[in-house]
This record gives sequence, C-alpha cells and structure tokens, in this order.
Amino acid sequence: MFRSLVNTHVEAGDLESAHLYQEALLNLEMRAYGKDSLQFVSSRLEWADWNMNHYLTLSAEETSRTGRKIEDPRVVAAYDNYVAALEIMQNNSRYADQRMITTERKLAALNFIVNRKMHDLSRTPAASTNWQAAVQAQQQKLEQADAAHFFNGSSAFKRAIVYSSSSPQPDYDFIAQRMMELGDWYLLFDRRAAAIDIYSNALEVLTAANIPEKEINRILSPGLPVQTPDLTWQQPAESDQYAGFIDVEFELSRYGVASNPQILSSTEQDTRIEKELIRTIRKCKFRPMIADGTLLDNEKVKLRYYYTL
Amino acid sequence: MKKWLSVSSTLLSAISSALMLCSMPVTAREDLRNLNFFPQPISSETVTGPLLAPALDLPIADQEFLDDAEGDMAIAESIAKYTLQASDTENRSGPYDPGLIQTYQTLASLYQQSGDLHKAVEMLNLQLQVIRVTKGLFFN
Repeated sequence: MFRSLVNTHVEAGDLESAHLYQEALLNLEMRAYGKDSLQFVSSRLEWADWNMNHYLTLSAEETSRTGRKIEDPRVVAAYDNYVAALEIMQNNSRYADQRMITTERKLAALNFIVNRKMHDLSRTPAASTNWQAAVQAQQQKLEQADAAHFFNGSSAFKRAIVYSSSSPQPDYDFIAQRMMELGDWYLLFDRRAAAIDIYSNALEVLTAANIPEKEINRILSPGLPVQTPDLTWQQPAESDQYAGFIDVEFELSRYGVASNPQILSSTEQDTRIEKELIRTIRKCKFRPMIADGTLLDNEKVKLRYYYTL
Repeated sequence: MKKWLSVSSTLLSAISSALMLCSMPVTAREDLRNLNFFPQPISSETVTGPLLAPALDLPIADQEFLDDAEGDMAIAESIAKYTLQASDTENRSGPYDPGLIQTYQTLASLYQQSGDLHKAVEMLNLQLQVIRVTKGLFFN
C-alpha cells in the first residue's frame, strides 16, 4: 500500500510526497518489528538507500538553490541507519549476510561523498575580514576531515574483506574484488604505496586460488579508471543511450597516473568533448597494468570512452 | 612551519582535485553538464560492437501501436467497471466498507497503467483512508 503510494509519487515526479510516505512506511515497520530486531534491518537499509538516492537526485539542484550545506539530514539519516543495521547484524553474528558487505561499501561511499562535498564547498571564498587566518583554518579543517573520512572508509572496506573471508567456503574472486576496492580507496586518497601493496595482495590471492587469467583480468581491470564509491547508488547507462565514443591512448605509471593522452579516433569529432575527456583522463586515477603477476610502469593503454549527453 | 603549510596545502589541493574530478562516470561542466563517460578496454569485440540500438522495424512498431491502442481501450473499460463497482459499494455500505480497499487498489493500478498518476495517487489515498478507519491508524 505505502510502497504503491511511494512508487506512484516517484513516477509522477513528486519526490517530496514520496519521501513522506517512505518515512511513514519505516515508522510502521518499526512499530511492527521493533527498532533493534533483525527483521527491521531490511527496512532500515531501504530507508537509508532511499535517503541517499533522494539526496543524490536533488543535491545539485538544491545546492544551487539553498547554498552551502554539509550536514544534510538525508545523509545523516542514511549514515545512522546503515550503522544501526550493521550493529544489529553484528550482534546477531550475521557475518555471512551479504548485506553486511554491501552496507560497509555504502558507508565508505558516504564518507567519500561527504568529503568531496567539503572540498567542493571550500572552494567558495571565506567571508571573513581576516582572510589569511580563515583560509588556514579552513585548510586545517579539510585536512582533519580528509583523515577522518579516509580512515572511516578504509575501516569499512577492511571489515568487508573480513566478512568475505569469514565464510567456511571463501569465494576468492569475491575477496579479491573487495581488496581491489580497498586499493582503489587508497589510490583515491593518494596513498599510492599502500594501494600498490593491496593490489599486489589481491593478485596473489587470485593466483594462489588458481583463478583463470581471463577472470583475473576481469577482477583487476588493469588500465581502467578507478571507480569512485558513490557509483554504488547509480545505475550504469544502457548501451543504446550512448551518443558516441572516443578512442584514446595514454601512458600509465605503476601508481595509476595517466600521461600523454592522445585521441585516436572519435565518432563525432567534437573538440569540446575531446578536450573534456583529455582533462578527465589527466585528473583520474587508473588501476595499474599487470603482466606475469607484476605491476607494470609506463605502459601504453588504449581505451574507448563511450559517452552520453 | 611555513614550508610545512605550503607542502600540506599542495597535497590538499592534489587530493581535492582527485576527489573532485576522478568520478566515473564523469560529469562535465558548463554546457556539457550531462556529459558522462563510460570507458571500456579496446578489444576486437569493442571495435565491432554496436554503438547504438538498431532502428525499430516499422511493421512491428505499427503492430505495437495497435496493441497499445487495444490495451488503452481495455484499461478504460476496466476503469469504468471498477469505478461503478466502488460507487455501488459506497451507496450500499458507506464510504468505509472494507471491500473498497481492493477496489481502490485495482483502480490505482489501472490509472497507473493508463499514465494518469494523479488519479492513481487519489485512489491510493482513498484506500489508505479506508484502511485507517477499518484497521486502525498503524496497520501495515
């Protein structure tokens, strides 16, 4: 009943009403199951996901309308409910529950989003007469936030690895994927040496488990850009939505940094899109190339970038 | 101290750039706001793979249109039937007859299928009202 109301409001584009009904549904389920019960975990996770989707859908538009805001109530609600759901599952020793891993990844993603938001907002000049002191204070605050978000996120990814490994019959593909995510996290926060260590460990796990090379390549995705964790809540575009593609070549260091990007060919030859792509490649982090079990340096990489407009 | 501050601000700016711009898909700025990139390794499969979905075959599209039109008529007929049923129930047993719960649910689905979302919400709200009166405020 409430779900029908939520879905219908979403379909009609009335997200605010849908949000109210989704909250009503949470309250009803809390009364029915009890706030600390295992049955209520799904409701908490659904409400947390709802809040994040709501925040990510509206945040760009809202930010331009309402100005600076970090502590968004939807992000706070999502964080609280992810943490509460994890605590309930931990208290009930549900370590084999896949939702624990998914939720840890979402917690890390939340830290990433909040940290990015803080950096985004810090670009606005401080409104203070003592400009230099204000900038220094802001930088100090950002450094502390970077450190806190980095450690919160890496702890979440580490817990996800522990949960994956705790199964009586460990799935090494899955464990290696979680390790690669932790490596990506290190790379995103410029902990390059730690990233390479964890990537190498993931490779060792896969090799020791005799995973076929094709599968190893799929998991390690050498030469592909590091995915930012906020994609957890996003749906990939369908291939029929692509407006075109651009083929590029660049050199990739063992630390995942691209240099000398060159356009090889493109379907539309739109220089604005090509420039945007080159700029993007220069700023991105990439997973390093691998051959015969070792990470390679200054390797040529060719990628096709499909794009939507 | 000054040197430390300078190093730390450089580091901070590098981290900031990475965090701001390394998202994939990447959203571009200004007039390319909706530009998103989806990278794939280049292989023989990528080179020969289709870029866009094939154009619709017109005869099939015509058939789909006819099917849709027939479907629309069937939905309209069903809406009329269930609206009459709801009205009969209301006249006979009052506006909070529990039998209305299912009727409103069906009507909401039918309106949703027809694309009239406002009417769908109206039906769901009527259903909610009947549920609250007959089964209590916190019935789920």
